[in-house]
Amino acid sequence: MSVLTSYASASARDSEAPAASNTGLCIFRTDTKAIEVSDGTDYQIYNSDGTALVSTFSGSFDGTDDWIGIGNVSNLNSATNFTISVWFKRAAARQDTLLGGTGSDGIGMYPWSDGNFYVHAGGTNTVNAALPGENQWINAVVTRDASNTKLYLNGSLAATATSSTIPSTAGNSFRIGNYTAFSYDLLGNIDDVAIWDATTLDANNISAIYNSGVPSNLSIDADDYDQSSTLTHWYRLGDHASDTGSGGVADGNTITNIENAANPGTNDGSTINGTPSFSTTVPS
Amino acid sequence: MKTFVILNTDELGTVDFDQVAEISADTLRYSLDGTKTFVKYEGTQPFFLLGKTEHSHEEILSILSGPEWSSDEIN
Repeated sequence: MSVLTSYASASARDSEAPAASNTGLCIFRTDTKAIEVSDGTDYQIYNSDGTALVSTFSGSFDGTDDWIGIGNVSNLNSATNFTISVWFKRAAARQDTLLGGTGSDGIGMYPWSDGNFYVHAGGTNTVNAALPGENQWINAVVTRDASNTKLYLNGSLAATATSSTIPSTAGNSFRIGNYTAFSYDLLGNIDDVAIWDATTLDANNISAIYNSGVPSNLSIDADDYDQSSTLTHWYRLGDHASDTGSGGVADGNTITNIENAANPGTNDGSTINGTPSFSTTVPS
Repeated sequence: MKTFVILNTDELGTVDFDQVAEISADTLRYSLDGTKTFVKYEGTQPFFLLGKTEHSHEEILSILSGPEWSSDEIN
């Protein structure tokens, strides 16, 4: 019987078996309970139950009125600290919105027709930066603390602005696929929406979330990501066991529920407007 | 295949939301002046939409990008 080599930390692993010189090596992490395999550049992480963390589905939105309601994310109301991460892909620049709660000066994130990405966080046009391009998967993360609101694109800091006051209704009627205050719905795909509603993640965590373009397991700490315990909302858009679709979770089937993988049963996405569907187009 | 039908807002009382993809009048998308909206359905045309002009996905995307439905900026 063979036994995987185990390591108690990422640093211990990297010291003895760096990924670059151990392509294909499979190891077990005693600290995270995860199985990891070197792809020659990084260690790719798998669940402790053996389920690959590869994203196999995303949500597809038709650009007319498709969105998924997750209810009131109450801790975002009047919030001081929070972090929101979303992966998205659209074919071309147009007027799109990705997610957000009530109020034009609340919290919302959207790629726009001018090729920029905008974040409203307590004031219109709070922070924005040029997108890396179109027709590609992009990870956008907004962080806020009492001083600064920051926008990260694909793991790198893209813009910083002075934080504005967050309204008391900013997290209400929160939607994926639409920013509640506006009638501009995404034409494209969204995957792995995550919210840390009382925590401002640092640059190391955000780089780990980007993970070279592949969504990582946000429910366990690994490498530079150490905020699994503060994750409050995580929507995997077809990759959670309790996600459901009309006819099941399959490419093209209309979404009927997306579970909050961080806190199942709380703020699940079961309010479906239009016909958002599961798609096998995923970040990779 | 999805089919889209534009309605005047004063026709909303005729809509059976069990037969279209939208939840309610509160979740519909409206034109900028608030006088028009649309619903979509798949399969058989609901009875209450008989006689209405049908639009394809491509057609409704083009309509929605026009000045009647979209302003230049939200930021």
